[in-house]
Amino acid sequence: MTARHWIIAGICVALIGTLLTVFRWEQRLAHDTQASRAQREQQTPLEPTEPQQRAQPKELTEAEPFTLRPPNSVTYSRHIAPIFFQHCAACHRSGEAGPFALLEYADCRSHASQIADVIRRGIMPPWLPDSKLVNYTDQRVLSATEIGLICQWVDEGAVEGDRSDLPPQPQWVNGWQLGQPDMVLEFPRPFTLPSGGGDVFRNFVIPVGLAEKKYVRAVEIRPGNPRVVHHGVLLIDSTGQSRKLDEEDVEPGFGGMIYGPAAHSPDGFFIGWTPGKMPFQAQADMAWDLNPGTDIVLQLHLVPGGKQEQVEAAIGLIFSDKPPTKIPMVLRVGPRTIDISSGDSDYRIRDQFVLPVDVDVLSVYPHAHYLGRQMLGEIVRPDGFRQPLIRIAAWDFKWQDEYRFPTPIPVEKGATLSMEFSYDNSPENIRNPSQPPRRVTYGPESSDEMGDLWVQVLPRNERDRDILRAARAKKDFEAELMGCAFEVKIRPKDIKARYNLACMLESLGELDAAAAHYTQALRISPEHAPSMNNLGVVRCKQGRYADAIPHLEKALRLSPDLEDARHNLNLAREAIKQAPKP
Amino acid sequence: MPLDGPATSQESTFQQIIVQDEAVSRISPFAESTHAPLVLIFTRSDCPISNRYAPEVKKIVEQFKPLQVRFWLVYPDPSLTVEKIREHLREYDYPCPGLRDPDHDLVKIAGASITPEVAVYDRSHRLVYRGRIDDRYVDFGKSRPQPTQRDLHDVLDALWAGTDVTFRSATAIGCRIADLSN
Repeated sequence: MTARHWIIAGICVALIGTLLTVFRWEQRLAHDTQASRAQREQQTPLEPTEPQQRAQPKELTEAEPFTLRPPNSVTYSRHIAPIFFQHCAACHRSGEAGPFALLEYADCRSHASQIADVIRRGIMPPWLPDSKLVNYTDQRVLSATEIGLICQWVDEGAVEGDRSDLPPQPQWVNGWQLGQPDMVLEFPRPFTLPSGGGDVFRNFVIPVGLAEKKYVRAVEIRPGNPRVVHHGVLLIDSTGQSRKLDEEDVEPGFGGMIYGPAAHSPDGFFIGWTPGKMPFQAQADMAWDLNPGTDIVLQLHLVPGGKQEQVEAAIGLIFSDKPPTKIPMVLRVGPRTIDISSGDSDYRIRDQFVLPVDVDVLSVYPHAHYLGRQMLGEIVRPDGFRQPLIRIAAWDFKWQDEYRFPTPIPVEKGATLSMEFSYDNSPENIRNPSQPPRRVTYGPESSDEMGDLWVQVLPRNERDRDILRAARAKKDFEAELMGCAFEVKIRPKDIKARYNLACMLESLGELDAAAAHYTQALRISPEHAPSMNNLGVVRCKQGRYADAIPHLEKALRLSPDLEDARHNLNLAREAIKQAPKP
Repeated sequence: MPLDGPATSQESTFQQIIVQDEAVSRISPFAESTHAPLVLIFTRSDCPISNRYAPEVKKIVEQFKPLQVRFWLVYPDPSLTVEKIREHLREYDYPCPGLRDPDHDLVKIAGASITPEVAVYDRSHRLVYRGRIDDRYVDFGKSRPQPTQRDLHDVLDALWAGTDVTFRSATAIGCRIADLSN
């Protein structure tokens, strides 16, 4: 057995204890539904339950409220240009994501009342988290004074003032923001985005072609056409499956919100692009492995802008010359049992992860689709003290992002990472992909829902990392098992759901339960060769070789290329031969 | 200032610069559209919502132009030159001419305040609808996957069917024309 097998075996042993829970899952779901319905009736916003125990760092104490300046004293040149230069112009300038520039008086004047409106209502700058609760690196937030000055300026006629008061215009680095990368990856050819229609999710596969392993310290994504690229996520695939999907599609990349079965974020990191975001550069001792043969998959969320556009992104990689000594991990907190009935305007999910070791929390990335409404992520310390990681009062899928803490948050062993999200599947949710609304369950497509709080943590040493990795594997396995059981509950006639659950139960050693589900799968689809083969394998594991043989023979008849079935059949026959005669 | 009465002679006296292909001249859209329903589509080249509507506008123009409905894109931005308008029409593939309205004569006649916003006049040039193209946008950055009500399309459909259409308005979402006033 390899080390990986030992880990899996360990997880399986640990999970046998949880298995009975799985069999009671349907009953428990019913209870949860009743509980959440009772709570929903209260329609309370997501708030930590013990606010008196919530952390309130000093820098987040409420700033002085804005006091109006003397009438007609606020001018563009003296008061407003510095605010726009600092907070808006990174995107609102030529060639960037903002639809108009905010670098000259005339441009600002010609959108003045609209600017005041969107700033007053918090629509711009786009920033989802509650900035009064938690601070993040590079947050796009205006102070009460800045908002007050802009509104007074607009209310009083948006005057220019004395141009000699103007500060110098900000200077931006042209080209790569982090300097010339060690490696530049480009699209083989541009993708043509149509002028209209709905949002487009496109996955572009770029072979890296490395001769030796590299340690990637920083990634800079240049979207190529920021006016139509709403956000991008970088993934890696070492199996070639994404490349195959790309090749099968005649256009560059392949479509869909699901980026392929084998693509995943580099272990321990989130790498993405959103308008105005500075590329993140990790310390030299923190990097991720990029191996020869691995492809990079760049998923772009594209929003048609009224005319046909060419999209040709580029990726810059900066390498570290030493292997990383600090290796972060990403922990996923969130159930895979989402089931939102049509019309439900306040469906809630909760989940938690108990940390088995001390860690430092580096960043969070919350994720839901179009029904997501509110989000709360917290650390619950062993003494019950609740420290918020993130709160979002009005989720917007289009502005999802990673939120990085200015300094890592130390968290002790025994603390819990906790999440609670709410969803709105009513017709009043205008982003609802279905009108009239329909029942929505967990899944990766845009018409499904997800509820994940991804937390990037840094374990303190190698031993802790191993412990945390095992705990994460157990948590992920449990979530997947619950998800499979849930799938079977909501789609009892779905062969895939039934087969997946049977496989998971088999891997746990729960052979009777696995056999029951394989049998069910074969009732749904009598010619499903994998289920037939696996049922034979389960009978072998139970020592019932004679019972196994008809299943394995049939699996081979159904799928003559199924080498596993041939191999298993030989083993079963051999076992029977060698069995002592009665 | 809703105008639901017949067109006044004043409307015909306003002469906007018309931009179409390479030709530039002065016309009055009302005088040009005698006995034909008329649609003014207020737009600006740097308004993202206006621009995102270009394919929908094109679809509606192509559907109703053969039915003798006259369409005009109206540009109220005084800083937008004829050349820029021509470029915008070309880039977004608009199948109708543009009108420069730097003094907001048409803006005032139609009572428009937002881009994109449409003003629809019937054959006798009574204003029958002013407002959004459809209900896709409900706020800045907040839009439906598909519209549930196609206001412009539906009012033109009703005019074509000969239904008696009374004046109606619906709030448009987009950039404010008042910001363009001198």
